[in-house]
Amino acid sequence: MTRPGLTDQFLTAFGVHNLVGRANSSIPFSRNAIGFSCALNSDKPQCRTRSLIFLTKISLPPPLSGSRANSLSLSSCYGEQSPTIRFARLILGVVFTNWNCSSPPPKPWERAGSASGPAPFKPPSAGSTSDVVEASGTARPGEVVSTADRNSTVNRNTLGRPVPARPWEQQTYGSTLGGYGSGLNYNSGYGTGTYGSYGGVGGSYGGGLYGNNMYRGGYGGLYGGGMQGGMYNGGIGGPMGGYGMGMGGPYGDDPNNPYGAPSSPPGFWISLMRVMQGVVNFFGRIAILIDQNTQAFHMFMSALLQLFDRSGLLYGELARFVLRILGIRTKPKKVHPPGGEELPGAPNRLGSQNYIEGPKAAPSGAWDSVWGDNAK
Amino acid sequence: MPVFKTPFNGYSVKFSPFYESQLAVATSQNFGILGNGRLHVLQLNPTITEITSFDTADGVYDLCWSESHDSLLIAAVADGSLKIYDLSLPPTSNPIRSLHEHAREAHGVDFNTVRKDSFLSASWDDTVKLWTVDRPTSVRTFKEHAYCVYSAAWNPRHADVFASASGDCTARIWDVREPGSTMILPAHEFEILSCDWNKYDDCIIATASVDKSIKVWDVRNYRVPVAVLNGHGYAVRKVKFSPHRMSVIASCSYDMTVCLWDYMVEDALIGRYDHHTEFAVGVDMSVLVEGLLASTGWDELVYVWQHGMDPRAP
Repeated sequence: MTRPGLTDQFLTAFGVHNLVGRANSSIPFSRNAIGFSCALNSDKPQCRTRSLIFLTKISLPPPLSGSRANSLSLSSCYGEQSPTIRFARLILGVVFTNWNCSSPPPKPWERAGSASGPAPFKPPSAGSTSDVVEASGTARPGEVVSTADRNSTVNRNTLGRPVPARPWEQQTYGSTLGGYGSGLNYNSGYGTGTYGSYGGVGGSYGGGLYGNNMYRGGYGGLYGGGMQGGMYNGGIGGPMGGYGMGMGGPYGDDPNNPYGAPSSPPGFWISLMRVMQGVVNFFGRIAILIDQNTQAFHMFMSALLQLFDRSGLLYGELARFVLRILGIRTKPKKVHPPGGEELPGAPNRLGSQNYIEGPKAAPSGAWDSVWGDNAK
Repeated sequence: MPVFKTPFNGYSVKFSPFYESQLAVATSQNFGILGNGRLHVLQLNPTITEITSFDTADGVYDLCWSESHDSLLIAAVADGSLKIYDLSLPPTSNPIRSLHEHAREAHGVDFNTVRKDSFLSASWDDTVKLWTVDRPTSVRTFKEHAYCVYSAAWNPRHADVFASASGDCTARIWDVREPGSTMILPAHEFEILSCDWNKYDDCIIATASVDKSIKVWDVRNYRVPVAVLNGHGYAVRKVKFSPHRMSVIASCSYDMTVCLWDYMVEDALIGRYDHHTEFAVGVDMSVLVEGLLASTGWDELVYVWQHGMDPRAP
């Protein structure tokens, strides 16, 4: 039983690693259970998950199959959380390294060479990019982190099939396309739907799986099930509709989102952009606007600038006039009543208004006399 | 082929290298000037449906698929960060990593198709950074350009060689083992927005510029271009060599068209699609299906069509 035990552990580890970093969440356990039930059900080839592929890829002693696999109890996989998670973390480096070493098939151009003779490039070096850069000594000190850090790999769980050969790499690539529909590991995270049958994919997104996500909750269902046409007509019609969504979304309280919510732009900018959007909608297309109005706008603005430039006097007068209208006095207007402030018994008789407006000069012009009494 | 409507303005579209019916679209709110971004993963059969989408705090300018994992996506975000998404995980646990080293907007990413373990990011902070999937920090920073770097592209046959296109009117060829660039191509008189390598001839590179032209260069003799492709009415935003045909190039431009070129024949323009009603800023050719094209633009639409067909045909 040692070998199944090892498989069990790896299976557990690799399944649970989905949860690494999100152990607080209550969702993924059920999802993982689905994934594993799929993994164990080897009758449906399109239902395999990356767990199974992973196991075959790194060629663990017992390839998971048949009754042996079905005898694994899921409860044993999820019995103890923290040790398994730790175990998952510990073996991840090994796993990932192993997987990384599975190299794609040799490229045709290594045999054929380039189409136009020798290239002026140095021959490619062996090893990974980081090794090559390190070996070349061109990285700044400290720029390359230690290799120990490689254990914290980005992608702990995804095990894709090797990328299909590029057409320029392999002219017979057509034959390699045969397996695409099977969609091996792609859907395991979502639990339902396979890419072998494309029609059914959309449905799984609307079902409240992401109900806590403001952005997705609304239209997930609409995208599925071939409702596309109706959705677009209904949902996008008002171009302003989507704009508020950046503000204070429920992302913020999601403990699993390590990078925080999409922050909302400042309110002023939002309103400015709304105005801009409105203008664009009103005039049609912004490209046309820019295309056809650049010259006119430029001439208009330059004329305006010239006007301001040349008529500084008029500009100053206008400014003073506007200031007057707004009630800001630029000149002292009225003298205090003689001896008003010397009255000991009535220090407040003049009120705060005079104090604010300050001493006023004698009436000096037509405008002053016009505004003088009205302002009081 | 049907059309997909995104809520934000499209910026980039890429076919999955693993599944012929999957593609991903990077979009940005408010024309990418300000606001959020969203990454859509779409399914093609038979209509375009959305598999999932991820929101970002800032616009997404570019994306690339991982060549080693069929569910990994890397997005270049306008806040300078590169975010790695795993499609097999729910959106709540994404992104699985956020790499924030660029001081300004990240404008392009490209995954190494030869060694399949590293990717490049081009940024408006004038640098290109090299990342590997197994490290949380960049492996190298290539700082030589005098202005924004708009895109970087790996050589499809050399694991260590890549090219970068910059607003300083040069394209540069780099070797990750060399301290500096190995070649400087003063390719255009104006800013260069995009570059790509020929998939069948590792010495041929195409550059697209604000001067409305696409130029094809041979890196062994870069004094004169192999071909100059004129025909776009405004700046050419993206250029892409066909994965199937040696001399075919796709491009999209601010003149709202997507063009197909054969740089080896006299009459180089072999296809012109004016289906977009706003700037066309993203174009891609499927690696797995010959002749399948995808484009996106500021009109918030994603088109997928077969070359020779009308993209708007239902």
